Amino acid sequence: MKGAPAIFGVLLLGLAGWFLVSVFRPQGQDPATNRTFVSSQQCAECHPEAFEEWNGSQHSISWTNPRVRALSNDFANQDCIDCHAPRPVFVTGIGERVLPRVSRRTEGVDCLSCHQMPDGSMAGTIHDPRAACRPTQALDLTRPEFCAGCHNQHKTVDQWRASEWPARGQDCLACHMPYRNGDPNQGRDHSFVGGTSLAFLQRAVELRGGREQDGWVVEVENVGAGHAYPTDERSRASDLFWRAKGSEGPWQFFYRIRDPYRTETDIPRTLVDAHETRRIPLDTGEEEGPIEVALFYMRSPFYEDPEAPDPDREATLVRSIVLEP
Amino acid sequence: MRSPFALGGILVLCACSPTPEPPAPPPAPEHGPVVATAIERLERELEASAPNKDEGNLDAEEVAEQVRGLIEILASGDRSIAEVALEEIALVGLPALPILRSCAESDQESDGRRAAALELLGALPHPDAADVLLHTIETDPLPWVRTHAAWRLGHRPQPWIVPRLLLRLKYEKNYETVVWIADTLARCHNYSGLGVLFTILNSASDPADQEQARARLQAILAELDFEDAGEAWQAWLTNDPEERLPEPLDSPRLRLEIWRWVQRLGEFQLRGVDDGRYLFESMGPHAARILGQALSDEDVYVRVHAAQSLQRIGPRAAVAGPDLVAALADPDLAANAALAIGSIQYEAGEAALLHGLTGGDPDLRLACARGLGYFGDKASAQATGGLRALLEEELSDELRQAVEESLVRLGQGDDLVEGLSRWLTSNQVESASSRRAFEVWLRGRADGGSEDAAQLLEEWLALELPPNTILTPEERAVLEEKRSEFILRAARALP
Repeated sequence: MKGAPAIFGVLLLGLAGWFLVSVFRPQGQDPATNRTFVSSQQCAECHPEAFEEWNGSQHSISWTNPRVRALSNDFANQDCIDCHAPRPVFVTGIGERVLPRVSRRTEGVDCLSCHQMPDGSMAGTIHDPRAACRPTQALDLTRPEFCAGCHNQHKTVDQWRASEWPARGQDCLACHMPYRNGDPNQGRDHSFVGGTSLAFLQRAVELRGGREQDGWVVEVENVGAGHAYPTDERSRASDLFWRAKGSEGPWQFFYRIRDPYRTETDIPRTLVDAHETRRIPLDTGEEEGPIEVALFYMRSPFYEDPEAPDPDREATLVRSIVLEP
Repeated sequence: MRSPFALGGILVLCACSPTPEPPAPPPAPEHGPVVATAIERLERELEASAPNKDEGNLDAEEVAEQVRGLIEILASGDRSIAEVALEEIALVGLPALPILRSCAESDQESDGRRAAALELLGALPHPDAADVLLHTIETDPLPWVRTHAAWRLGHRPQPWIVPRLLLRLKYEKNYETVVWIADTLARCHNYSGLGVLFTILNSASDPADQEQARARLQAILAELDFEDAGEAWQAWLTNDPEERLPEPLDSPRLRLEIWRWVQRLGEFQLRGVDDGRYLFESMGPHAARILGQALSDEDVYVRVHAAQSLQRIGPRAAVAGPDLVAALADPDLAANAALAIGSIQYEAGEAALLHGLTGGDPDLRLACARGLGYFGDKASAQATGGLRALLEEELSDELRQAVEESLVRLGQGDDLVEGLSRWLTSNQVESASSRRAFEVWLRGRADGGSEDAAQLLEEWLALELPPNTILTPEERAVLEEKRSEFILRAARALP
């Protein structure tokens, strides 16, 4: 029993310490009540900036986007559901395929998809058990494998791995989730900018051309995409058109850059891989004068009238050049 | 809690009060290597029963010469001695395979010799010969070669070829090949190809394709106890309640093929998963039995997608009902299992869904609410009562929408139809499900003899967009507004 007074002393000291902290702690530093997070809407209360960025992103409309709904036949094509309304990545596992949610599908790829941990707490850049969402620091969030569960379904992450970008230290986040204003202290931008941005597309490819011995040759070079241009089978395409310089007439199609969808067994894969330069011969028939060549980007591969495509209206003009004989 | 006295109070309470026992969770189902074990067992079984590939002391050169002679006979076009050649190839057996494969797959051979080799392969009663024909259907660039292989494969149908043929039915683009794939499937008593034949008959631009489809439909019907192809198709789709269709052919090798596809549900790439779901749906009860067992596999991807596949098969998967009810205790699977129980209309599972409606898991509540709506005319009064009672509670928009839709689907929510219109213009919930629920209701009224409903149904269907029509968000909003107004009008016009 010799140790009893010592133990009592320690307990008393601990109790006194707890008493002092309880009584004199400033009001503003109350630990938040741990909450159960069932919707990304709850995240907006403390993270309005990130929430608003996400809310304007493609991730937030992955379920409701009319384009997605059309291509998936209103998600009758079930294999789209998994990535367009995924359960949290930390639950299914980094680098593993995600599994589909049953509820809240309209929230798409939401905050919880990326940040929610199996115990309901959140993965983030800091560790703070006193915050309502109990964030823990999780560097896994920044790894390409984190994105791969969905984005490697169409081989995008594999395309990046096969490129020189990993050796140059450029990963998914470097382009698609940069620091706000380039300042790490401001955190990462949650807009997930990508192929919907013209500036982004223009950083990805260059267009050149010239007259060679056998006729016109047009070159498309993937200079800036960390993966193939375009990436994402089925949904994306990039088309080359030409017309006589100064003509207001319709564009004439001559080349499609695309990875065919699984049923399109008779279409070759023509994606321009990272760092690749594709040389494409162009036959302009009897047109011998200067021509205009244009590279358009499509977020779905279908024109309203395949026989008479109207890329000016139906696609995004990425680059155009004038070629003189 | 600022005061140490509060802590003291709590400590005293903890010491004095008995700790309340939380309700015992339902027992978690035991998971194990179900798929791997089944595959291993079947592989062993097949290996033990495989014929000896060493066919005696035949000289390879002699065999090659003999087979080349048989190919020449058939390629000559003289059908009077063709039967002899076909009998002889069966006697030569497997040693003939390399020569036949080489001839059938070579684009250096004449068309006549390639066709002869395919015919001889079709006469060899061995899985390896069927495998060569399937490979030809899957890979040959020439449509006539693929067509010929599909036709010859039907001469000695082997049950195990069904999954691979079904996959070709999904991907093949040449109509003539599709017609013969459908024919060979029918010879295996799988009638999934009937639907494709109807499509070709009704929409092919080439009259020759239409005629091929018509002729094959008639030939298939001649083998069945049906005069009307549409009736046969309906019987296939509805699990043949009058048992007029022959039982699908079965074999251990076919079961092995199905298990291997179930295993693919665990793959990273969703492509294989989607193919699997399509195959299982096209196989119906045959696959459902195996999928039910797979719900206990250790791989969560296999379990979830097996449940999804059962949901997609619908009432023809009723055999998996007990497995699905057991799966409700699996937290990773419960919601998918609830949806599937409703979709297969497993009446003994209704009580479990009603119980899930009142639980604390929001995913499961939602799935149970939706699942009950899929029961159709098999839903009990308790089901509609349970759903009605839920409407009295404070619910999330998503759950309230699901409950309303289910009651409308069950024909017990006439008073709720008008309200469905609001979900079409909400950004917080899925509008497509409300559209579908409304359509079920309207179709039910039209089928019940209401001419007004039939007229409205026609107008409603006219609002459908052609496939792959991509609207801008603004255009989509306008369309949903229009549909929403239509629902209001229809609900008021059809009291």
